[in-house]
Amino acid sequence: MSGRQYNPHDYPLPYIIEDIHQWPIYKLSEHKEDFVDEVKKRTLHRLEHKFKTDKALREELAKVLYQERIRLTEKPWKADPPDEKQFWNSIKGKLIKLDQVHNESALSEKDVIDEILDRYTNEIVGQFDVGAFKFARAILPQFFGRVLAAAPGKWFKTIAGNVKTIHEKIPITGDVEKIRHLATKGTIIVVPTHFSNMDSIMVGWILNELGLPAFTYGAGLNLFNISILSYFMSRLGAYKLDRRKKNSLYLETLKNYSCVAIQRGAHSIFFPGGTRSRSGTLEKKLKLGLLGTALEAQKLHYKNFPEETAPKIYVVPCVINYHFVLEAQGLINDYLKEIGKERFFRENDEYSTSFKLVRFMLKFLSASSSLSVSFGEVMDVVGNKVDADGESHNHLGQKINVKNYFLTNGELKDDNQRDEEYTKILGERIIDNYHRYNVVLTSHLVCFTVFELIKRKLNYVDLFTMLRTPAEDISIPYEEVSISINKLKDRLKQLYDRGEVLMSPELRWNVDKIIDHGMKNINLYHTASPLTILSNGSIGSEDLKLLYYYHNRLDGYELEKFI
Amino acid sequence: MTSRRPVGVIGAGSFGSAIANLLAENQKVLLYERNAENADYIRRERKIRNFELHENVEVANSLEHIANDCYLLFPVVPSAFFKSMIIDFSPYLRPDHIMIHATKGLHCEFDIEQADAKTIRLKDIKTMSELILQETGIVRVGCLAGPNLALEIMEKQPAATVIASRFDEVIAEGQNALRSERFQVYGNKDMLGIELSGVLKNYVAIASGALNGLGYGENARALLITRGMAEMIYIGKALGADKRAFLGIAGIGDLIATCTSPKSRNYTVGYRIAKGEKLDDILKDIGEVAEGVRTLKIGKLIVDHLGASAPLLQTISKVLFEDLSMERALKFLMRYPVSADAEYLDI
Repeated sequence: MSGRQYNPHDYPLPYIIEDIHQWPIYKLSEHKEDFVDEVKKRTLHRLEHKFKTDKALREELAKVLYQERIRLTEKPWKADPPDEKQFWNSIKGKLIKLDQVHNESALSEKDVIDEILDRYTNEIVGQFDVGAFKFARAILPQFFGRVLAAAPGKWFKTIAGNVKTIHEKIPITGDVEKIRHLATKGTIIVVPTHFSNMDSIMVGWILNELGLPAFTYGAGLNLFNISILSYFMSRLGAYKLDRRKKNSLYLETLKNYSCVAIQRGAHSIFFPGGTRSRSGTLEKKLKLGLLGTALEAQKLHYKNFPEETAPKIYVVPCVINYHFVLEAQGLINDYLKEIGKERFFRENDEYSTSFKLVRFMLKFLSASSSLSVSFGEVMDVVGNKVDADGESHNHLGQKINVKNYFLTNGELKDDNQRDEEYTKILGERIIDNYHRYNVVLTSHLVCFTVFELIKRKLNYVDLFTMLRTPAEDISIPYEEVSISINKLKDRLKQLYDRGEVLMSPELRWNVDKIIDHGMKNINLYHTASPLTILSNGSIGSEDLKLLYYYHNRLDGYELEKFI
Repeated sequence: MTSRRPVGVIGAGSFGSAIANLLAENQKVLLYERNAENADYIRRERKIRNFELHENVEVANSLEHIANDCYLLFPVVPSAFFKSMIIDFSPYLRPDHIMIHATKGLHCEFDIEQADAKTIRLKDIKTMSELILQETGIVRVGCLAGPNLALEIMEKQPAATVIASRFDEVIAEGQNALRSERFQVYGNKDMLGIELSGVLKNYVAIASGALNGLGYGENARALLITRGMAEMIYIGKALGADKRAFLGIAGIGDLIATCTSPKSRNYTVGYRIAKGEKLDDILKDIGEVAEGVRTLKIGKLIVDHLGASAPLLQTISKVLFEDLSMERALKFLMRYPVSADAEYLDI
């Protein structure tokens, strides 16, 4: 870590660019038409490169149409525009015309693609409204602050409480100064872990606290079903991302959208896990599509600028730690269904209305005594560490010119396969960062320990048998839990000293206090407690699935060997 | 001849010079010899072990010079010296270099002679590509392996090889540089599989030489080669490689070549052991490195560490290092319970 350290009372930090009208995201929005045009042009160009003949384009269009018609009938959403069916019917008519041997109209494949791209880009595109931003900025700290400042369950009593204490509630770790500095030199891509739908709001807000210009990010179209979210997100730079649309045209549009936005300097948030972690583990595998657009944008910078002036793109992993996750129940059920070979799981809508969402957030925030946000190493687009001046250094500490990654025989060369491999390497580094910058909270440790002890008690039966075991058979004597936690604490300390994990300050407490703190926090939210103290003093669980979910957060450190 | 930059070959041993001569048919080649006196000698004589160097081969004595002049690099250095070479090379290497190594050996971060199979860590045993990635800033790494006896290549006999890399580009650049009307170059994406094929075949070659030393003929050798390959597949699989690599040119192809050629060093070691000579004497005689002996030691550590059974490897290792006679070894192997034929296709 370098640069100056900030204390909780320093936040919010002053904006690195004072005038909002100078923010990249504002400029993007201001030149929206020009931006959308470029996205369309680039997408079309890509498609032509991929499908070289008119016939190939036609076949691809037919595939797109087929996929879209299936989506329309099988997964219609409230957020869908009313003329969807009409639109795709008209596309169908045009495709039939194109298929005729003597195509007498002047219509071409490109016209049809253009029409679809037009629709897609206008659907995806976000805007940034200074008024809405200022309004949100004024409202959110009040909201987060007052609510978080309150003692668990008593938020209403301290409505007039001290707003500043929010930063003590949410410790931010990482080289904030470096991130701020590099945001003035290049474009920042923040890649957070993804556990909850709260993540994007949380990260967006934290980045604002760091004094960074607003970030753009792709928000699932399903979230736009909720009017209050839709109102803010569509005005705060979020673009819409429809996970139902998996056709090549849509995906290509999305990638080019992201790439052009980055090229135009818009700091972006990607959730590289794709969707929220179902099992509760840190991401093990990433979706590389959007991540690859950072690399692509960097390559294009080298193409378009002389070497010294080419802007650089920086990737910053970010781990958000909650004591509990709002959607834990739904997520773990999805996961169990999935590994139970029930392949299909529905898109979860835990809060389908604005009212439910607000109630949910209040409950969450009032209950949460602490969460933490930790930023990992700042990297370039191929995963090398970047120093305070933005220079890349490889794992040996040698200074590296990133442009060299894109050269073959001294020439800048396009090579998708090579770039995909680079993106995989970047993905591995991000995952490595997730593990090393994961902050172990008391609740994680207690859940992990108790679940592992239960597993051992049941002789390592398979997961499903274990989850069916009656509650009375799974209690663990308090002493046993306490001894194991002490052992794991020592092990975690070793890992911490080697830079392989971070620990929350509470983990330095004695074991009784750790258990107490962990249990209080985990049980604040869930109606069935993942951890309970039974009448005989031993520790049990009312919901083993949830316990499993929270236990998974410490998966991958081989801690079970040290219990 | 194109206007491309020259290609660098690091290591002027017999295989290094063979590769250099192959490359020289398509472009200029810089051949690195570490020892300045030797380099001068080769420059003067234009010969390495009685074989003439192609006129396009220039002998170089500076790694910095090679790194500056070449984008494509072929290190061909015995595994025991690979790490020190790559560390010396590292300061001059950049991400726009492509490196395809042709070393059929493994590196250990510990002392092989002192190691205890129980306490070693598998991640301390590295393939050459892993060493390159660990010690340099190069990312585009590949390996070259196949039935390529240096002598035959020098004699311009027809042959083929495999270049493996996760990067299509590395395979393509390697093919462009090496391909000629007498040399075919296949591509493979499973670099670990190809590296392990090249490594593991060495001890099978020792066994093959030994069989011949005992005076046995082709039936026995065919048995050895087929079941040797099966064992290689099992070990490879345990280390994370795919079985397919072992069934290709660099796997079974290379295995046949080394197991049938009295020209190969590993074969010679086995042959003379079977004739009753002592390993130390043979190694002194050969002068050059027999990778097979090293591989055998490392392979034994790996297999013992995993608690796996690899009867051929374990038995041959007893013959070489524990004075088991080859006759008794053979008896043991012939009594070993057999599995279904070609069962390795199903793993």
